[in-house]
Amino acid sequence: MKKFLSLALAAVFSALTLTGCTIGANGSSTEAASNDSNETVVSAGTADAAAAGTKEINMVFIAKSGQLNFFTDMMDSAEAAAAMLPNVHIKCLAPETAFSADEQIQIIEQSINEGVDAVICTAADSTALAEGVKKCNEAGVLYVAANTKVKEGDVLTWTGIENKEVGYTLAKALCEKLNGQGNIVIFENVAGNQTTEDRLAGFKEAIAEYPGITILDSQPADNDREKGMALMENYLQKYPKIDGTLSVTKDMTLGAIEAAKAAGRNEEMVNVTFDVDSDVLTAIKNGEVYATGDQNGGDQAALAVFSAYEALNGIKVPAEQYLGVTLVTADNVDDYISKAS
Amino acid sequence: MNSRNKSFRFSSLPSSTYIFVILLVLFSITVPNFFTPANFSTILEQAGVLVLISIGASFPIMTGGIDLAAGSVISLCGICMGVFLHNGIPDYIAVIGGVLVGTLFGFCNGYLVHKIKVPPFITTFGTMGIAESLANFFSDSRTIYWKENTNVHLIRALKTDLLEIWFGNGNSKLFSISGIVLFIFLVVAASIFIFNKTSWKENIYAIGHNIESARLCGIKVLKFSIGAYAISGCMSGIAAILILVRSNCATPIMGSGMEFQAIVAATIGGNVAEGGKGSIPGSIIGAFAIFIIRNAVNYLGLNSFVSMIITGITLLLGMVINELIAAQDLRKGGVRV
Amino acid sequence: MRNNEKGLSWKNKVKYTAYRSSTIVILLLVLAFFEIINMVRGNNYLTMNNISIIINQASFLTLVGLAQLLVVLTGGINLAIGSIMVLVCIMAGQTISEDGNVFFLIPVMIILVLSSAIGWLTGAVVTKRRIPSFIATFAIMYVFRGIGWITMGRSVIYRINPAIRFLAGGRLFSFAGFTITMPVVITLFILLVLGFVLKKSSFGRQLYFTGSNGVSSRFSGVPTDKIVMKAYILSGLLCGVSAVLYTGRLNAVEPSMYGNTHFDAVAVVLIGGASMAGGRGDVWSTAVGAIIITVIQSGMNSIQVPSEFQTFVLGVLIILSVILNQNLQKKKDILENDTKD
Repeated sequence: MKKFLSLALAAVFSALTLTGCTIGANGSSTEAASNDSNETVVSAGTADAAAAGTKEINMVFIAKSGQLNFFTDMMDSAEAAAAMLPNVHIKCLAPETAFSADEQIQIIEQSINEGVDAVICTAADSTALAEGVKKCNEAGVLYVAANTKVKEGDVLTWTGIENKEVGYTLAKALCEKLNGQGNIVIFENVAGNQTTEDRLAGFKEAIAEYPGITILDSQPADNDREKGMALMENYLQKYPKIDGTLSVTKDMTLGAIEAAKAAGRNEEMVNVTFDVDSDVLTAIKNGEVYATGDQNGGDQAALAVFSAYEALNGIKVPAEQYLGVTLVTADNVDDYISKAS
Repeated sequence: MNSRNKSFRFSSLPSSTYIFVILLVLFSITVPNFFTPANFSTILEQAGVLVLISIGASFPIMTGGIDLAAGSVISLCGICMGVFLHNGIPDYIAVIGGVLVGTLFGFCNGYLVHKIKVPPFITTFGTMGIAESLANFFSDSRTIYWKENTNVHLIRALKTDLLEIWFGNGNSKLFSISGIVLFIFLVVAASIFIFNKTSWKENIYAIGHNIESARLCGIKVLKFSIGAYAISGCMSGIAAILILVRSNCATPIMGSGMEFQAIVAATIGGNVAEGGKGSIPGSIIGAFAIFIIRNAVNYLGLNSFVSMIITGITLLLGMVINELIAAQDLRKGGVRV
Repeated sequence: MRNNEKGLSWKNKVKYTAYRSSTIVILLLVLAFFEIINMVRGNNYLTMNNISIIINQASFLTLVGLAQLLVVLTGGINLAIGSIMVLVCIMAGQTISEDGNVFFLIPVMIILVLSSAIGWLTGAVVTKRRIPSFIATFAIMYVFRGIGWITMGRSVIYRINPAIRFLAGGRLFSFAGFTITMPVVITLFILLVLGFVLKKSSFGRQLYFTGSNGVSSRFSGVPTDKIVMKAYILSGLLCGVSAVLYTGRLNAVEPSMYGNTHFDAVAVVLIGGASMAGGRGDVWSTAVGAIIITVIQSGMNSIQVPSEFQTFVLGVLIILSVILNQNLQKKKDILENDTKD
């Protein structure tokens, strides 16, 4: 975590210096700063931090849900990022009803009343939040989309991962492990969620390349451990042999594993899922889960905060900033475990 | 004895007023930016949905029943309206269609409860799942949106600001009333008027007190009791319009969980589970009371779970206050009309 | 066939038994329904294996159903069941996990004591302050959920103590393809004990009396407040038992779990023939109710009803079975009256 933040700070300083040179790009995506967690260190040069001024900056970070570790981690990172910048105050909020777009819009309105300078939001619904973006635009407040894009409106920038690519990578890893032959079941998330749809599309694209792999079934378990367990119980009842499972998020897989264990069938399948947390890391170490992906939501949040800060100081920010995804398997899980603790 | 006791009774105001005032004062003192006209105009607009379904929830409760399906019916109506708009149907018709769907659904609820005699908890528990399924089915579990074309005059009209007061350099709105607020106000006023001025009030109270004696008194029990559920469904439909307008799309989980908040608001407002008494303004004030909790917690930047705790405590406190007021009523004697 | 002075004619006796066991009638109908549909499609639905799975799953549902039954018998409802389950597990903390390294009875005892205490608290609120159970338990649910989230934050407890996991899923023995698991044994035990208490003890009789007519029972000298208190304490205790078993099964504790359990419990109790007005219902019918719901869910999966549709079917079936139950009970009452002089 610290390593990334210092990296990002270097990026900020370098961006501040680069404004000296005429870039002239119109925020096209070729500018996408792919901040993979490897060495993209740009020479910091003379950091012109004094140019930041002494204006008080207020930001608000709105997560989709306060109930998932992923989003609370993002909130933590946003706060840490704001703490590193001078005179930046940030408030992190989440709707009471998880994934409620209407409540997110309400929070945006409240924040505008309060006079924030920037709204950073992971949109619960990419279409509904367009209204929130419009309200920000009318009030002259910046809107930064973290993790989830918004379909309309003037968004300053978007930080996140390419979900379709994620889906593709994960499914490909599973198919390879199964040597191109087998039956798999898929666990989806709440329908209508752009993230889920993109990942699913990626899954299907990869699977299409392996004619020996059949998708037995694909149903939503709403990102919930219990529901994942119940869905797996159904799958186990319906299908006498399941070779692998693919899931868009980790909670469902962890629940599914319990169901498989209870039925004595967890040895027969290879599980691939997404997102990192201590429980899934342990599962990888134990061999229960084959692979997961790390999208490091914290990076997305921090980058969003930094981008807002830069923009408020007159620096151009690219319209889309892709962050990389790392595949975590038994080979590199130890690095992650030490990172997570 | 002709001299009536003219002293002020707590029960002359709806019981939720006291809770509301307590919370208002508490938050105005402790939360910066709370007691500002901008915040109040925001609250007026945002709380509309909750206010409407709290009114809707009061009716079944007053007849001694309950409507657990209210939230899912919002989703269903919203999806229906969304589907209509998506297919190019003019917005007036789409909106009326959605509200009709809600009313019809409520009617079915009432029919099951009062004609087939399935207990209201079970009926609305079952229909909650049914409505949710239908919403998912009609929308294919996706968000529905429609193009910004000429068919959405009504929606655009609702979103415009009717009254704005600008402050200072004219960049920040001080107070504004949008079309939505006017709309909410009209619906609320109509509900209160219809309830108080027509025979609804007495009849519903009578039914809530004792349905058998009401029937023996010649009251058209079926009409009013089924009507109560139909009204609840209708309100869900109208609430769906508001959500639709504000988010410019329809999702199949639009209304999930709202029935509970409505029931809490109605209960704080004096609509007790046994039925037979209660008031619409009470529910409205109860709805605002609950809403400002969330509003204040967000301003403080606290975890939304803090708002859950405060809401739970408020509910208990509200009940205690209800009880104290009723006890005071009993002590002072006399008949309250 | 006319009724003679000795009682019902044999034909009416058959009818009477059928009406009395209305819940079993519903169960048989539901089983027949799914078996027939499956046979038409060439599947064998009622295999021994499937039946063991159904009984196993139903035993969990029965436990929460019993927790709800106790409160429903007093004419109330317990909406706090799920939140109590989660909170006591959170409060038991690390003692419940594998890493805790404590003898499993310690966390079990902690949980049972805590949940009974919470039951006492709920009872106190309902009886002392005369707050209706719907409101009281709803408020408690809200408060406890909030507390659960705030105290637990984002640390999931996972990998539960293996002894507890055995309680929740250990296989004991099998014969002819039918497996008996620990939860089934535990539930049977509780059914026997509770059934005895409710039907044979004075507490039980007074409970039924209080439930069916609170006012007259109070005037008859029955200490209604104490009885209701005891019912809530028992309900809390059963929540604790459910908590241990459910958590063992899911192998994790997260604050978001069991969000709908109170509703599932109500469905179980209602299909089991209890009345929301109180005074009617018994443990064995509740158990059959749990089996019915499990059969419906597993049956729908066996004929591959999509999950969105399953909520619909469940809703319809609940209403229908309650109507059927009521009809049958009415007919039973009529027959009972017929035999009286």
